[in-house]
Amino acid sequence: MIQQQPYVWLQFRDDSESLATQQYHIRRGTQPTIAQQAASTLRGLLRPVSGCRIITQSYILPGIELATPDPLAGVIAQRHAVFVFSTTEPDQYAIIAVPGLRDDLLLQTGPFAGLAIDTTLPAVAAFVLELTNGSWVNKFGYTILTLEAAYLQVRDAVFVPDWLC
Amino acid sequence: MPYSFPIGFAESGCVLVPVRTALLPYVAGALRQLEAREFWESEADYQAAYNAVAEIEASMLNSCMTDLIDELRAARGVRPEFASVDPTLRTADMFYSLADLLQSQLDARGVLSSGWFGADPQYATSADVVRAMQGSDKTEGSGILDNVKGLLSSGTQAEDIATNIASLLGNEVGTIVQGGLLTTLIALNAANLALQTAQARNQAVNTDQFTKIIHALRGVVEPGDSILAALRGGDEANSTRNVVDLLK
Repeated sequence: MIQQQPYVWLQFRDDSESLATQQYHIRRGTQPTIAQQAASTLRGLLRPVSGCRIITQSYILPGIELATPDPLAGVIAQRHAVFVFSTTEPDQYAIIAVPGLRDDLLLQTGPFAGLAIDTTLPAVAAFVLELTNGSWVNKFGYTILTLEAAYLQVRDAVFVPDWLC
Repeated sequence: MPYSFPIGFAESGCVLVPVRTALLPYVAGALRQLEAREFWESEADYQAAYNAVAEIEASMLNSCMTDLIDELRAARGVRPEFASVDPTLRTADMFYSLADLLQSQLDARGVLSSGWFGADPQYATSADVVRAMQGSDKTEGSGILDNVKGLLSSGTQAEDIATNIASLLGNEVGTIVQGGLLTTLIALNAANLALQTAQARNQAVNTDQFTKIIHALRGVVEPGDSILAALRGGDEANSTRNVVDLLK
């Protein structure tokens, strides 16, 4: 993995709900808390310049993977492996999606053959174990606990703009 | 345009939406837009919606109707003549109906009384079965044990006990089942024990009476000589010296 220049990513919205995004690169090695402070300062300075409303901010640490194997023939990125987990908080869930699900990980028999993911397979079990080892959380910070369902979803089959994701 | 999460979500009901499994990946995938922050008005709306959508996605592998049908059929039970049919090929008529199950319950009832020419049969209820198991007299509401307990009270003669138990058995023929017979056996054993006790009591009375007679004859203190010797003197009786001859 080759690290790229980190940046603060801001999303702007005008009065007609049109959106625009912009990257503001920052020095490599900047700690997230420092980057957040810098972004906060930047937002304050941007408001007098831009008439838009700043609605989203991200701090991105980009990298480029060079040494990955070639993608499997026939695999479609939009076919996601979707894992739904419960968390340590009741009624709080985590939806974890993996693009380009391999067909050989799907159940081969039963009513959900070709749809449900075979969680007994080593590759799947290892992935699930990693997610439930206490380090990973859902979008709201609740620790991922137990796998509830795992199956194929075709995501991006309808147009979903990046800003919605 | 962002949306507010529905008010009263938790209290609202739910609907069963059949989705062909082949379409499931697309339907589930289309929910993705509801997982996006920008779709919702506030952070609270977003969090509530995200978890609501996650619940839907997690439940999409519940093969709703198939599972329900399987559960219902399992509860009904397959008819024996169709037991060998592949479960996936079985049809609704291959399973017992609710009417079948009710009829089997009715068939399991025993007839207490056929009624007048069988026109108005009286069926045994669970209460009747319990009473019979307890050896209870259905008409009088008192049990054999209660009756035997009365018979065993002081003053009852042994022959009366036997006679009354026999009478009890005769009265209970119509209602006693296995539990009742067992109770009867226990009652008979109890009666035997009572008889033995009565005999021991009589024997003690007799012993006391004999002791009083002996004391009257020879005094409380046992004499050194015999009563016979005291009556006849030192000479022993013989064919010519005896009481009969002397009284002649």
